[in-house]
Amino acid sequence: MPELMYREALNQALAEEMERDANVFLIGEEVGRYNGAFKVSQGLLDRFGSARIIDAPISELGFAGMSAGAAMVGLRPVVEMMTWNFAILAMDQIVNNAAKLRHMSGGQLRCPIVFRGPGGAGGRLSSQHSQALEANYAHFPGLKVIAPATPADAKGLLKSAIRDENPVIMFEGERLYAVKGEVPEGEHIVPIGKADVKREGTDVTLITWSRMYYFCMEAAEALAKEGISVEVLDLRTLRPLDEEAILASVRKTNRAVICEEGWALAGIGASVVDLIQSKAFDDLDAPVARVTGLDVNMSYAANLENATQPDAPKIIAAVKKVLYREGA
Amino acid sequence: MATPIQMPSLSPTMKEGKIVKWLKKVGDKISSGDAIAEVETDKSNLEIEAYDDGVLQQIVVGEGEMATVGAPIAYLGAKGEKVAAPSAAPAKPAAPAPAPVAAAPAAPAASSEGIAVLMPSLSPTMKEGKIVKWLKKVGDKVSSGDALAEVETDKSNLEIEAYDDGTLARIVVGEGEMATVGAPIAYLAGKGAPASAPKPAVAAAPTAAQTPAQAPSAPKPVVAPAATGGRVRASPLAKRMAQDRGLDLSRVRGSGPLGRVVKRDIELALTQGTAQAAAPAAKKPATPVTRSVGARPEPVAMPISTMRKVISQRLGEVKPGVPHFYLTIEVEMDAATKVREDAKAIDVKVSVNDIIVKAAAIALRRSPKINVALSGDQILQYGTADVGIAVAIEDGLITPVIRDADLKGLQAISAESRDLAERARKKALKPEEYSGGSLTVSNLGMYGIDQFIAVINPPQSAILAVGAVADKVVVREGQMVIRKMMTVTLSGDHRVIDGATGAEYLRELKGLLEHPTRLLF
Repeated sequence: MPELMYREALNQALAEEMERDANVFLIGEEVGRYNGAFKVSQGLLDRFGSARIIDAPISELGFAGMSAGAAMVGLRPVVEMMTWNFAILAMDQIVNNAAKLRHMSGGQLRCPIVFRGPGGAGGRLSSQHSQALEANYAHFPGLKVIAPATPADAKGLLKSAIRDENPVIMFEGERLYAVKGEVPEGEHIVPIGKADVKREGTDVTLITWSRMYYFCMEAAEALAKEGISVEVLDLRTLRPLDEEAILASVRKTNRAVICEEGWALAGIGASVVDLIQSKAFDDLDAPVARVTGLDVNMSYAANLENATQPDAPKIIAAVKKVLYREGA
Repeated sequence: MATPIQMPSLSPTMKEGKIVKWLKKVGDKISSGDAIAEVETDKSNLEIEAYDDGVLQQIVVGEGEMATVGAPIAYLGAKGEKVAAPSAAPAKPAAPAPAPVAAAPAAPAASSEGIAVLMPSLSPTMKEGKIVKWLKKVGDKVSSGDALAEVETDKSNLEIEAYDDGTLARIVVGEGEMATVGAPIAYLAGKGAPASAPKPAVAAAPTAAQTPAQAPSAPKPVVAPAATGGRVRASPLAKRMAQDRGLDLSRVRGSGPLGRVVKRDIELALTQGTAQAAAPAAKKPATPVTRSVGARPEPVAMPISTMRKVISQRLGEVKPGVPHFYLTIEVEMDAATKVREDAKAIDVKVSVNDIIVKAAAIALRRSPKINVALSGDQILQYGTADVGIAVAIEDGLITPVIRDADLKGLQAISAESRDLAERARKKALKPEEYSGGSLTVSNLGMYGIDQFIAVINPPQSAILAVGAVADKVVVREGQMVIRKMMTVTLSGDHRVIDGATGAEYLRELKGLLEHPTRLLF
C-alpha cells in the first residue's frame, strides 16, 4: 500500500471524486493558481480547469453562500476554508442555510456540500488562528462533522463526505497535513459515523480524534511499558457519534479518558461523558476523565502554547487517575 | 479548603502508627497516589499515599509522633491554593479569590463532606464493627473526645470517640449496620478541627501552624447531604459486581478516593475468598456473605482446594475407622484466668489457650498411657509431650505441634503458637511442624462455643475440645457461687486408650488448670 502524506490523501480523494462526478467542484481562497494554502489542491487546476477549481476572493460568507446555493440546484461543492478560524465569518450560511434548508423546504431542497479546512493549533499562530472549533459545528442538527487523524481516514472520509446528500463539515489539521501513512489506492471509503479502534486494550479506553490521536497513541505506548493496556478509540466522526463503539469499548475496559484539543465547557467530550454515564453507568469503575485544552485564549509564546494544549504526559496522568494508580 | 489526611489502617491489627518520616513538606504539591509519609505500624514500616490532589497545608503529627488510626495527621488544601497566610479573613467559598485566601483547614469544601469519622479498629482482630447505637444525632455539636456511638466488635461493645470538634453533619452507617474498619461511618462539619486535633502541630511551618487557631468558625457551605443510611462508596461497576456475586459491599475494603470500593477491591475480595483455589476459577465468587430478600443467587460450584480435599478424605476415613469415645469435664478457670491477668500486668501476652496447652502437655507426661499412637500393629509410646493446636485457616484447618510443651514456659508457648498460627494462615508451615504428637487441643471458646466434640487427628490418640470460659453459678461448700467455668471434652481412640485412662488424664488436666501453680513443677 502506498505511503502518502495526509494532504496527498486528500488530494487523491478530491481528484478521484472529481473524475467520477462532473458535478463536483472545489472553491476557496488560493485553491487554484497557488495550489492551496496547504497544497491540498496541488495540480488540480491544471487537471480540471478553472471552471471546477475556483479561486475565490477573501469572502468566506460569500463563497459559502454561493456554494450552498449551487448545492441546492444540483452541484456538489467542496468549499475549502483556509482555516476554520476564518469560517467563523461564514457560519450564517453554513448554519442558517446549508444545515436547515432541507428541513425548512420540506425536502424540496437538498444541500450536498462539503466545507473543509484545517482546525486546531498550527504552531505559534496565537489566539485567533489556533482554535479547535469542531464542537461549535457538532452542535447543529443538519450538519455532519468529521475529523480524521490518519491519511487513510482522511481520504476515505472525504470521499464519503462528497457523496453525502447533506452538508458535511470536515476538520483537517494544520499539523496533520505532512503526517504520512498507508493509504489504499482507488475506491477507499470510510463511512461517516463509524469510530475505529486504533489500538486494542483492556484497562482503559482513550477516546479521541484528529491530532490528539497521536498524543493518545504516544501515551498508550508509554503506559504499555508500565503494564497498562490502553484501548485507543478514534472517533473520526463527531456527529453523529458512534455510540455503539464508545459503549462497547467502555463496557470492556470500565474506564474512559477523553482527549480533545478544544475547550472543556460544552466540548465534544462532555457529550461523550454524558453518553457513557447515561448508557454505561453500571460498567464504570471510575468517573470519566477529560483532557482538554486549557480554558484560556491561546498564547503566542511557544512554551505557553504547548502548556495550553493536551499532550502525552497529561493523558498519562488522567489514565492513571481513572485507574486509581499511584503518581496520577 | 483543606481536607484531612488520616492515619490509615495498614494492618488488620493496627491501632496507631508512628510517623517515621514525612516525605513531603508543607507547601508541597501532592497528587493522588504520592507517597507522603513513612509510617511504622505494629507490623512494619510502610509508605502512605495521598488519596487526593492538593497542596500539603499543615502537618499535625510530627516525625516520631504517634497517631491513632483515623486521626488526622495532616491537611491537604485544594489544588492551586496557596499555603494559607495567617490572615483572619473568612474564606468566601463562592467568590473568586484573586489573593491567597486564608484556608480554614477544617471548613470543608462545598464538594467535600467535611471530616470523615472512620470505624476505628477496637480490637486486634477487629475487621468490622456494628453500630449498636448512635449517641449523637445529626445536628449535635461534637467535641473531640465525646462518645459518638456504641460499636459492637468481635469482642465486645465499646464507645467510640470523636477526634475532632464540629457538628455531626451526616450519619453514614445507621444503627444495626456494619462498617469495615477504616470506612467512614459519619461526617462532621468541621469547626477549627486542626486546633483540636489530638496532636498540636509540631513540624508544621509557623504560618501554617498558626492558621487553624485563627481560622474563624467560618461560613460553612456544608449542607448535611440528603441522608442515605448506610451508603457505601463504590463505583457503579463495583456495586454491580458485588450484587452479581452476592458480596456484601460493606465488607469490602475500598482502595479508591475516600474509601471508594472499586473493581480491583472486589477482585481482591473474591480471590481472597477462594484463596487456595489458585488459578482456574480464582475469580469465581467467594462464599456469598449476605443477600437481600428477593434476590436468589444460584448455588456456585467452587473448585475444591488441595487442603480441603485432604481434609475431606482423611476425616471421611477417621470417623468410621477410629472408634471414638467421649469424656467431658468441667474446669474452674478462675485461677488460670488470674495467671493470664498477672502476665498481662507485666506486659506478657499469654492466652488461656497457652495455659491449656502447657497443662495438657504436663498431664500427658503424668498420664503416659494416653501419650500413645497406633502405628501399624504396634503402639508407639511417646517419651515427649508434644501438643498439637488446631488452627482454623482460610479453607480448612491445620494442627501445628508445639514440641516439649511441658518443658516450655508460658511465654515461649504463647510466642510459638502465635508464630505457628500466623505461618499456618500464610500456609508457610513445614511438614515436620504439623506432624507427630499424641494429642491436639482444639479451642472454639473464642466463638462462644460452650462445649463440643472433636474428631481425632490420626495417628494421634486423643483430642481435647475446649469450650469458652464463662461465668456460671456453681455450688461450692453448699453455697451457690459464681465461677469462671470451662468445659473440656476428650475424644479418645478406643483402640489404644480406654475410658478410665482418658478420665485419669482429664482429672490430671483439671487439677493443673484449677491450680496453675502446679504448672511450675
